Amino acid sequence: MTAFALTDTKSPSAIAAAPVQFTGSDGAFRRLVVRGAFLELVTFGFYRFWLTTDIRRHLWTHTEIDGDALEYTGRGKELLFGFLIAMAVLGPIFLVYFLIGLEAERIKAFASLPLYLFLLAFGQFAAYRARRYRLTRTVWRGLRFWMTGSGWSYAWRSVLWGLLLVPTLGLAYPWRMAALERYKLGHTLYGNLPGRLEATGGELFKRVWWVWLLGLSPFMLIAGSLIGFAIIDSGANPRAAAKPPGAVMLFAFLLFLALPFLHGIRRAREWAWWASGIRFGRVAIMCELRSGSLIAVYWKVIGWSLLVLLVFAAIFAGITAALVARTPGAGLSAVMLGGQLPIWAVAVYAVAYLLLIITFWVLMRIYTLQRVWRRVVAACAVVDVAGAADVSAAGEIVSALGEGLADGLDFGL
Amino acid sequence: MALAFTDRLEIADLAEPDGPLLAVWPYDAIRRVDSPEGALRLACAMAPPLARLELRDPAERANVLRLCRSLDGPGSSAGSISVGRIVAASIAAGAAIIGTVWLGMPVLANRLAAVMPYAWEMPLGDAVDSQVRELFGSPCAKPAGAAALRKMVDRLQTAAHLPIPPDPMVLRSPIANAFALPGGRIYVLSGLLKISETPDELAGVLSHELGHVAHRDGLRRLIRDGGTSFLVALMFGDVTGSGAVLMAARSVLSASYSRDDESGADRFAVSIMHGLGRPTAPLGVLLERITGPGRQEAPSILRSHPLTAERKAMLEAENVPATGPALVEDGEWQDLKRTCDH
Repeated sequence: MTAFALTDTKSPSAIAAAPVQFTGSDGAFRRLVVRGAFLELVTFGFYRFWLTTDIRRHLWTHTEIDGDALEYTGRGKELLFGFLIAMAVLGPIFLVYFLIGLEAERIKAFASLPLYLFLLAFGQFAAYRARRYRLTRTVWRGLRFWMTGSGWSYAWRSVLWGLLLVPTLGLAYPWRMAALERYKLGHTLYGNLPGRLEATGGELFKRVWWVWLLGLSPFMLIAGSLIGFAIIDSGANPRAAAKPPGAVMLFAFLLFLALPFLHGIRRAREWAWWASGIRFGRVAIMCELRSGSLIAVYWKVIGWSLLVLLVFAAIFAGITAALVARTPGAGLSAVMLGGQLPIWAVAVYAVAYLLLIITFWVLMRIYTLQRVWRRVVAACAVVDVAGAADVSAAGEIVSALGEGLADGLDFGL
Repeated sequence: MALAFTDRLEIADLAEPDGPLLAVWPYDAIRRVDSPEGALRLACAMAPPLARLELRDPAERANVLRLCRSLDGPGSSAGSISVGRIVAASIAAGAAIIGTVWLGMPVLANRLAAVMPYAWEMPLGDAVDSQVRELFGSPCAKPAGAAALRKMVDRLQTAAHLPIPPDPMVLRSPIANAFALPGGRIYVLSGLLKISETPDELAGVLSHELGHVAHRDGLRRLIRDGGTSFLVALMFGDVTGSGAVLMAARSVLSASYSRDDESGADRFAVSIMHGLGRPTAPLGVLLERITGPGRQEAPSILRSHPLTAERKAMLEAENVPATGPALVEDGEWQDLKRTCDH
């Protein structure tokens, strides 16, 4: 247990920082998601409500702040009901959406495309409401977190900031993130203790601008070399002149290898920036996540994914070979395209495909969720936790409709 | 916190053990909630909902486990539904959804399409029409060719009796195909004009398309696909990636439906050609010319049209010698074939 101290210039005594710890084991989480993934497979996906709940219970319960673990009080049944109500809500909305789109198309072809903006905004609205559900099911020391603010107000902020990303090639990203996180945390409360984000987009920009530039560079170099090739093609001596842009392109492909490193660094710096900005009254979070600490996680995702792809490619090849062997004299294309595929082959292909998806999904849950969570939590400490001592209860639990809408809109939260 | 295990669990403040009790929990109201390993976290059904007692001392935990007999009762963190029941209920729900998609949606689509006024299909066609024009460019507008095509379609309409007269046009494309939209818009791609050798071949294709309009296949497919995707979304929700399986499953389903639609449109074409006293075999000849004899075709369940050979055989079996007048004159046919020429 590491307890470290911050020296405060105003008071001679140091304000103690309480540790934040993750006490869960990787093995327990892995068993949880693998079992859950197979249950999802046999339940046509319906088990997802309970699996999501169990994953949250695991992560919350093993996150200890100043010696006391969080508790997640949500239940799978709530998510199921939220989803069913959301489907009842979304049905008519999609119908109206379709009819408006039809009218727009009559006036002008593809005039219905801006309607997607509405769907995007709706997805953000759902995300906000889903966060509200999760917060009101999050309990620490007998008090729950909760949230005010308006989902629509958040949704429009998110979409308008999102539109700004396109012309700026993503440069507006730090300010967008700061604005949205400020809105979310500014409307978050622990009991009657209001939260806020004390971090600015400018600070985040200073931390990640070079990552953004390097991440963009291979794409720019490739675009540049393609333009170079196009100019050379119209020139007099294409073969000799093609060397410089060819070298640039080779260099750009090498730079692609750096992208996972850059992604890991960017995520780590974002997490550190965000967590260190969290305030509840005079309680502050201090996050000292090192920039390199998430790189291994992303490389593991890539390595495992490649391995899984290879294994499944071999399985698919095996099934196909078995099919070809069954019909002597017929070539590969004749088996796959001519005649009828036997129903067992279709079933085997489908099951193998679903297994592949589920395996990827397990990988994502393990690495991009639990491993990242573990590392971020372990890097945090709470400063002046006494500020949360005399807080009284406030806020009511809300329904899981937001979660259901987010699920039904399929925006992959 | 100081605990006393009397006939109930008495909780006192450790700082002043003789002061008033903080809480008294009856053993049977005590519930176990989520806690990290090495701790036992308790709630009480008769206390405020978020009141918690966390025990780390092994002796105290053993006492609680011994004395409290409803630790996993209602309100505890133990799931109120067993995994077995979730699995059984899910399989039942999944089977019901698949059954509805397989058996219920076609019936629903047929019934709904039957009660919807024909005029409702017009905006549907209009909406797609503006997209078609965006993709293919404006229709070819050589007056003589357009007039010949209109004459042919008008002749077909005298046998087809569509509630709204069909509106044919030629689009510039190398693909040999024709398609119809709800509401009666018929598009002929110029590739089809090129490959057709006689007016009866083209008329066969056009009356097949009129069959789709008459049977309202577009509207029915729309209702079917909309309902199917809504029901399927119920099942898989956010299991990202299973989307591809669903798409494949849906294309198999809707293709097998539309195979019925295609056969229906073929039969409609036969009845029109019979009504006008024209032969049906030329359509089969044209189909074979388009697909090419002996070409490999996709497995039949994945194909939206029945096998060309089957269709050709049916059209030849239904063939009658020409008794009615030609649908267009020779000169008009030449104009029609050149509708898109510069």
